[in-house]
Amino acid sequence: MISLSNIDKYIESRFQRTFILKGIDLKIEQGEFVTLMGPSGVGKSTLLNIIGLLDEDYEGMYDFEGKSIHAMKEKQKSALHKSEFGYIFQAYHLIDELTVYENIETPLLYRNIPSSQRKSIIAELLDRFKMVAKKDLFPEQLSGGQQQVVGIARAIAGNPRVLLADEPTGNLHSSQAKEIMEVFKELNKEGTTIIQATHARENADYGSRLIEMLDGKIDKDLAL
Amino acid sequence: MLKNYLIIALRNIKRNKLRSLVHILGLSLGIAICLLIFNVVWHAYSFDKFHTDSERIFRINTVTEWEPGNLFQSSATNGPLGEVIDEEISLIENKGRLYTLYETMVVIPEQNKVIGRSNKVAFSDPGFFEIFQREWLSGNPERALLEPYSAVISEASLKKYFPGSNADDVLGKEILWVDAADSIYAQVQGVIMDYSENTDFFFTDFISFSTITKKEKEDWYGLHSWSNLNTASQLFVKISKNSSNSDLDEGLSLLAKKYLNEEDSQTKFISEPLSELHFSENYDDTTVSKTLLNGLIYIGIIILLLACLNFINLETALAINRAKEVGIRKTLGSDRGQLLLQFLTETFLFVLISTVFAVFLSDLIQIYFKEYLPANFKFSGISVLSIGFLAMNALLLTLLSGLYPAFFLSKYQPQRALKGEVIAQRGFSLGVFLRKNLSVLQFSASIAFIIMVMVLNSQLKHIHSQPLGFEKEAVLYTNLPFMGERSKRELLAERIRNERFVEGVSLSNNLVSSNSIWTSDAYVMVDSLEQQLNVHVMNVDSAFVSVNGIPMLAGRKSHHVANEILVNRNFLKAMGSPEPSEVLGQTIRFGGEPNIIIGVVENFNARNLKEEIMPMVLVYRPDYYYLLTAKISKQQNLAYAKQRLEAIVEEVFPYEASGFNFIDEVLEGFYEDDRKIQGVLGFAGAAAIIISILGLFGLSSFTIAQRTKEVSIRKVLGAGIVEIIALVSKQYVWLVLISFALAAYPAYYLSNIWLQQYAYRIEMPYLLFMAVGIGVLLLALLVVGFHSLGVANTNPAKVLKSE
Repeated sequence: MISLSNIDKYIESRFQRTFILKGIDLKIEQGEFVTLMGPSGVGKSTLLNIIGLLDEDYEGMYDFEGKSIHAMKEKQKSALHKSEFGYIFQAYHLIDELTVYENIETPLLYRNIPSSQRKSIIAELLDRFKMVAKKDLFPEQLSGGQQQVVGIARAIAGNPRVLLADEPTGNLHSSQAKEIMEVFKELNKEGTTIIQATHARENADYGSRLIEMLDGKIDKDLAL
Repeated sequence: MLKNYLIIALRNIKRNKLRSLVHILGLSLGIAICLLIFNVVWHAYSFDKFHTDSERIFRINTVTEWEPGNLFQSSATNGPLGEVIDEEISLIENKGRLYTLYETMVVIPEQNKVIGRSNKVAFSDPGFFEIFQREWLSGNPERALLEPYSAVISEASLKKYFPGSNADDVLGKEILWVDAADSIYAQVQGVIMDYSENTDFFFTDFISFSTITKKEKEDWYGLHSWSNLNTASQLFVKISKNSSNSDLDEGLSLLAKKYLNEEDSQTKFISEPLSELHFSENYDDTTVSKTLLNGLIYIGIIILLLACLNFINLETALAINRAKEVGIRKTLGSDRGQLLLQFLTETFLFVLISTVFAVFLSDLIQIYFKEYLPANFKFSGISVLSIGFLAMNALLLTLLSGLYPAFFLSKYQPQRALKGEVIAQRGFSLGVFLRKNLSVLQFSASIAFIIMVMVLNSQLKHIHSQPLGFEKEAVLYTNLPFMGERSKRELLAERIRNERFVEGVSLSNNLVSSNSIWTSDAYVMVDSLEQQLNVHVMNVDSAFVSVNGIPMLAGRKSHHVANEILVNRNFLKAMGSPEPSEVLGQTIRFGGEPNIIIGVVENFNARNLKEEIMPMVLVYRPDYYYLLTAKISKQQNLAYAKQRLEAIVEEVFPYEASGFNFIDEVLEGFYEDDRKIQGVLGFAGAAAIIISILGLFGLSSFTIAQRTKEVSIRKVLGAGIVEIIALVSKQYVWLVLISFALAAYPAYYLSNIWLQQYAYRIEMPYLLFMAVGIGVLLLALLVVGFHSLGVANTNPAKVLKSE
């Protein structure tokens, strides 16, 4: 499904190149639950951003379902981005001015989904994550765990095939983190491909594959 | 989608109150001013647009070069031109002649009813109504004005002269119009509707033109010769289709060659489009200056731009706060176009709210400027016209102020924006560059406006403090019938003179100072050579000098003898400055006759202070007197005196409505236009500085808050509050200084143009320039200081802990 070969990313300063990623080769199949692990600054987030089409400033080949990203036009990339990917962030990144309901609704709006369908999708998600009573609250009125649940609901509202999560539990305490990971596991069971970046080893146990990174390279690639 | 945009826009407006306040105040002020100016300009251009084929209607003007390079253009035409023009120039379809009358007395002889004086009476020929079509209530449009002594009145006159009568009933009825010494009895041959739209043709009574083209009347109305020009005589033509303005002018120049002799060869005729009439010479002194209108348009645009700049400035400065939202939306699948649309929607919402406020605000401003606006100007912020303008304006304004911030915001890269990496721009940043320069522009405009207002203020003050050479306190005057009975006039003067509070009464043909002028040539012997002098002639009686308190330098007042003449000091100066007493008894040739100088008066300003005092002669021609000036004793209550004098006039001239006015009101009137300019500029200056300060307030609150960390570190390192305020304020001092440097020259240039029109003017007040600069600087520092004090007072421990 996702195939990266020889991906380099570096920052050029006047006298030297500092590599953030160097020579990454990676294949991820549909239905996998991949965990990227490693210390801060090792390039996990950067790799996630490249996979999620948020960062185009790199060298190397990236094929999605056999099609080269480089060969795509801006419009195709945007369509691919909208239909295939969902994002979850460490800092939740909900829009402060929108309610829980409206936050979940936003990606659906960008996908031009008709109003009645939107309502049923959101109702289903609220129900699934037990947020029905909180649908009219603003993010600042929720706890961190609740915010992340909304973040997940929003990420999967557009029914993406790939879920990208960057330190999804980094700001949460362990019991909340556990809940979130359970949700991930369930989503994976339903067929969603999940790629998460984390430096908490216990989170990797929920996944099917563990990739350890070191200094911008893939150090170990283990099946669990 | 749009609903989502609107919701978030509204919540943002509610959340950031300072930002919303700055935007809405600034924009609504700008929109209100523009709305009002648009209505004023529209009104000025709305006159006489409704006539059929109005683009083919022209008024003939006369241009005379009375001195090489010195042109005099008048809307008047001589009588003979009106006779021949359509025979000589074939492209003329119709000609219409109009002869306007001044203060005509209207009487209905049948009922013995005196209606009173009217300025809406004119002579016109049938062609006039063919060019300017009317709806006829009765009478035959073609024949009504053909015969001498026939007349057409409008519905307004019908109601006034014959209340309760129908249009058909009054046909054949006789009306008496008394124009100075000419009494015209004419029969009503038609009744027309009044115009309902804006027009300069407000006349209600039309007497057939053939009445005055009769031989015995031509002289009196000044229509007899090619060389006689009289503003009352107006000529309109309608040209055929497919012919142009320049064809007409060509025909006119051929015609001038044919009929004008050598002597008049400096005279030519040109055509003036009907659309220009309201801007050149109309019939009730309500012409509008196009320069003034353009000035207003510029002011409106500048103020609105200032408000836009505020918006752009503050939005780009606040962009960092929105960066996170942009990042999230991009990861959720928004493309740049959708983000642009979102931010433009938000801008549009601001503009919309401001527009609603502007409608109310413009009404308030309109009340403030009531006396500046034309009498028939009706303003409504919710008329179709206004709403149309507001809608267009809202769209334009949204794009103008919203596009740049929207582009700026929507270009953020999501992965950077989410990490908060948006400030770290190295080297040249368009945003920062723009922000600084936009503020400079705003302050430049404000400073320039304020300087100009200050210069105007000091000049007008200067004018008020100038000695005029005569006394203006407690002097009243009234208009008497022109060419009325001399004995009646003198009787009135005598009666007023006998009032115990009256110190003196003078009858004259001109006020001591006024806008009218009679100039002529006088010939005087200087060193046995006859010298020609262009002189200002005042036709006054012997009491004039004492009533107006003009000092005599030598000789005596006149004894009401026709060939005795007084001169002023500048007259002597033109003669080579002899001693005043030396010229007494000398002969001056004036008006074809020898006159003897019997007295010399001190110079006085008989015109406004834009003009120098000319050499002047005071002559005695009592037949033309129509003004009565009375000097009231200082102890007298003036209101009572005015009332009492008016009562006396009414006894002697029962049908004359004109009351007494004060001379100093006439003097005030000289500078009315300038005071209007002062008022408008003052308002513009105030609006500009309010908007700029508002912008600075919003901007600095934000930029200073950004430096909280830096300030805290400096405090930890030992900086005092004063040092920190100085540090934070320094860049704003630069901002105002650069703005001042940019504003100084344009302000100097424009106010100098204005000052040059005054013969009596102040030196350019450079100190005032400095004062304005310092004032604005202080104001800016006050605003900035307010914020910097807040930052300087924060506890560094708290700030640094959270970092």
